[in-house]
Order: sequence, then C-alpha cells, then structure tokens
Amino acid sequence: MTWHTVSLGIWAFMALLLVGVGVTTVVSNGRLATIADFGRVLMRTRLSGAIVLVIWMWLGWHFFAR
Amino acid sequence: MRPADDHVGLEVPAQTGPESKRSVHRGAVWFAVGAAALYSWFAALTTPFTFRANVMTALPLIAALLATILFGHIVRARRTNERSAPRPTGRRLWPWWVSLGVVGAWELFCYLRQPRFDHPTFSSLYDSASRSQPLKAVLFLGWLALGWAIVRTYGRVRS
Repeated sequence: MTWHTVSLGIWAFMALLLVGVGVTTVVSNGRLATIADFGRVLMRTRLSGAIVLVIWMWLGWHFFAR
Repeated sequence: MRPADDHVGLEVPAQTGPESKRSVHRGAVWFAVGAAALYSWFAALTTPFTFRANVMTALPLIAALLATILFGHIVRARRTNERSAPRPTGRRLWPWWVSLGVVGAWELFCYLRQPRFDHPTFSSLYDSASRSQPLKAVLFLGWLALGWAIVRTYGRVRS
C-alpha cells in the first residue's frame, strides 16, 4: 500500500465524516447545530461575515481563475 | 334579468395575492438556478490562468460584492419597523468545530509533505477532478450556491 492510496483513503474518510456530521446534526432534533446554524454563527458580526465572504472569494479565484 | 345574474361572470375565483406572489417567486428561483447552471457550464469550459477564466470568475465576485451591499441596505431599511435578525443558535456546535479542525489538520499535513502525488492537498485533488468538464461545472455551481448563501446571511447580520 502506497502513501498515495493511504492519502486518498483518508480524504475519502474526511468526506464521509463531513456528510455523516451533516446528516447527524439534521436528525438530532435540534440538539446539534446544523451547517446553516454553524454558518450563521460564523457570520455573527459584520467583520466575521466579511471574513467569510473574502474566504469564499479567494476559494473561487484559487480554484477557477488563479 | 335577475340582479344576481349580473354578477355570475365576476364570481370566478381570481388568483389570490399570496399564491400569485409565491408562484412568481418559485419561477424566479428556477430561472436563477437555470441561469447559474448555464453560467457554470460555460465557466467550466475555461482554462485557469487565462483571461476568459479570470473574467468568468470575476463576474460572480463583483455581483456578490454588489449584492452584499444592496442586501445589507434593504434588510437594514426593513428592520427599522421589525424585530432584529435571529440571534445565533444555542445548539451545540462542537461537531462542526471538530470536523473543521480534523480536515484542516489533514490539509496542513499534506501541504507540508512532499511529493505532492503521495500527499495530495485539496487543491491537487480538485486539479485532477477539474479535468472532467461536467464535474468542474458542478463544483462551480456549488461555489456559486455557497456564495449566494453567504451573501444572504451577511445581509441579515446585525449591524
């Protein structure tokens, strides 16, 4: 087994982890924050909201334009 | 002619206000989704580091900035007579912080290790995935959708 395979396996695990957390929070009957709640908390103030917006812009530029 | 007969033609139930508004809103949403999907398809045809790719990526960035400013003003103006924005949730956030920490740590670990083939970062995985144009279009559409959600949330944030 190469490092390449191990790394890809861990990335796949990360993706499953995120999906699992997303589903768990939705079916938790309001005990856990959903991803929408988490987003609202991250953007609680105008400054933190602006930071999230800038990160989104950077991601788009990094992936699609560069 | 009896008096009641005069009103027969007027008794056809007209479309109610809220129902009509909802229908228009639904149509607008589907139009926006279709337009974004079409835009994403053409954006996926571009190659990074080219003028076309820059333009196709810059247009949503400019639109998002303008929408953020506009949305913020509209929501603030409306809120003068309404209650303020919903307060942040009291629900437990730890699953998201843990997930973010684990993914961030793994990304950093891969970034600091070489060669890249053995330790692919999120960017290098994207580079491989973006060779497929439909997949790249889906990713671009996802990025647009995330931007829309961020702009809407930003507009609702308390000033």
